[in-house]
Amino acid sequence: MDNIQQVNFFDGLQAGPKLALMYFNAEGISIQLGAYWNKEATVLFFPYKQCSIQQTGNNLFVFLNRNATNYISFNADESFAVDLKQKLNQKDQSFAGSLLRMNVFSLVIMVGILLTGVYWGVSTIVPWAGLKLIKPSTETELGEKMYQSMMQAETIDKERTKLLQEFARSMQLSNNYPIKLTVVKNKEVNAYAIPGGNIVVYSGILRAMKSPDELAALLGHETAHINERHSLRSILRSAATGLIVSVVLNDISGIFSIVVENAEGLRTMHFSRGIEKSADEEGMKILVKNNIHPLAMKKLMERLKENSPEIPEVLSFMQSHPATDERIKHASEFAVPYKNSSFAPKPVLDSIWTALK
Amino acid sequence: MEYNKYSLVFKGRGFEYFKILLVNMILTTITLGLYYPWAKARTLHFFYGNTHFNGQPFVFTGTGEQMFKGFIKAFLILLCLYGLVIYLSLNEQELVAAALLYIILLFIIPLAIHGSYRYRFAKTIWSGIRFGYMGNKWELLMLCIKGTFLTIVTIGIYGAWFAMNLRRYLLCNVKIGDARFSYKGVGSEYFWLNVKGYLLSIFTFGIYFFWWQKDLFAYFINNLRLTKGDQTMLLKSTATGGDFLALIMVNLLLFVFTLGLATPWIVIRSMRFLLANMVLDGTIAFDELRQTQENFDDATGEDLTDFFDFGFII
Repeated sequence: MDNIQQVNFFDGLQAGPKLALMYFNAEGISIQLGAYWNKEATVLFFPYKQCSIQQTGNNLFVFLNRNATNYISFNADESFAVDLKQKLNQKDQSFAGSLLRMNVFSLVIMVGILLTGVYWGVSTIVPWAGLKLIKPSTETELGEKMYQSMMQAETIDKERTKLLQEFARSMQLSNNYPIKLTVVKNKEVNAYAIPGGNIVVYSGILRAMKSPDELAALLGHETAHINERHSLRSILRSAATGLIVSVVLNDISGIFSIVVENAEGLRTMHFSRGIEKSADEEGMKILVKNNIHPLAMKKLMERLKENSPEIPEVLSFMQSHPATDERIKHASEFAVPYKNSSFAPKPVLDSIWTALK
Repeated sequence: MEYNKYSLVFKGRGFEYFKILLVNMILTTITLGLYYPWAKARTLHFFYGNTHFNGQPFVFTGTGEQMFKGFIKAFLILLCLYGLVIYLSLNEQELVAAALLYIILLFIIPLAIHGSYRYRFAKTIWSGIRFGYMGNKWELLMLCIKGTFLTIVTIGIYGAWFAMNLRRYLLCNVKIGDARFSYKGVGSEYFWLNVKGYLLSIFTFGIYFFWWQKDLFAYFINNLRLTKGDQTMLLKSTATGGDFLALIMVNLLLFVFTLGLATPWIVIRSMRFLLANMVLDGTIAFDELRQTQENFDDATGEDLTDFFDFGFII
């Protein structure tokens, strides 16, 4: 046998290397201790499927059993090294093995695609499941609690609240939620919706408005927030992002989560702009349903613009009710088909409006 | 007896580790986390295989399958525990639930550390010779209960003694073949080392922090030794505070300017730094080390410590 090689053999009984002879064939590696091959002496045989190979620097280590107690080591420059390496590397046909053979660039791209996919999947599925699981009645219950705690610090204008409630009752606003109105004594030009059905209107905005259809438009807009469950949606969205950040990115590094959170902040801003736009649109549909000209929405917005403090143009996209001009444009576009339709006057709303003023 | 100088080097490369991390990430993501034990096995394999003592590599022979079994067991144990706690708190027994949680954890954590040490060292091989952990789980449990109790009673001061007693117990029970590790750090020295480090770090606006780290590393390394009969190997740290300052600052800069992508290279250079800054010498003839330790396949403790997120701490 001419392909016998001299190697260092570790026998798993004592730490030091022992001089041994080795040859390998298609099935495995055979080893005999000593410096000369003796046909009579014991030959140890190790099948390839138990073996594994490791190269560090210029040294090759072939572990001969799974416990790694028996192994041989030799120089990677030996003539037989390439052949033996090939025989041992053939067996790793696993998916992980083929991934490890790929180049880093493809791996980075794969990780990128996967993480994007996970991000997209979770941020779609969690809000979707949440919206299905949380019933409108539960939302109303929770919203009522929120409303109670928020109202503790406010002074309610009882008389106007009653009138506004009447105003709302003579409109068709929501099929799913009981719409409840509250007028709060406050000079600010503001109004907001609480999930589940409560709408809070500041007396300041009532004073600023000049016609009943503007008020109808305001109620339409706020009701749309409630009907479309916008608050719940955004809560679910941030919950989903939180989940991803903590699960997927937790063990990579802290700085990643900072990047994601900041990117998420920008996306939230974009999302809230989308929400306002959708509330405008749904609000205008409510107006049409109530036989009020949708251009009232545009009028409302122009009124809000008049009353808002001057904000430099650059910053306008960062406001919570962003880009009034853009919304005005959007409202006029929506109203185009109704240009020539005629809307009947609303004596009931008019009379309540007069009382409110 | 012959006096020897021993070598301990880390030969891993950041690029290779980066690739392993990427592959692990891909497989862990597409299996919804179930691949974790195999990913861990691959990572450990890499770190062990690239650590060479006297020219021979360490080998981690634990497998994903073993750790997956442990993973499932650990998961079920914690599921039952948290299920019980949630059930009790929903039935307005929050105090009972909290008390029960802490008491059970006080028992589980030492047992998990015990299991983790047994598994990890039984799977650590050098030069064909197995390591082993010989500690007794009830002794460890008593040590932890006493330590936790005294630490709470002394508002944390006993923590230093607890940490050293724990380290001493764990390390004194680690063997490689017929050689045994020992550690002689004590609570009082460790306590004053930390008090000094803490106070000086404050007075120097944090600059002393790096010298504090150097002291802690040296206190760990210099008190560690390996004995085999009357032969000994001593370890000594040669790292200076300046070395630690350079290491940590460069790591920090690398991390920030690559948005964390350099993490694998940071880990590798730190490993290299720690091993390069140790001197090992003594009279042990390592070629004569004999196989004495048993194999051990149950990885539950190993996986439990992973769930608690304290990894493998000495």
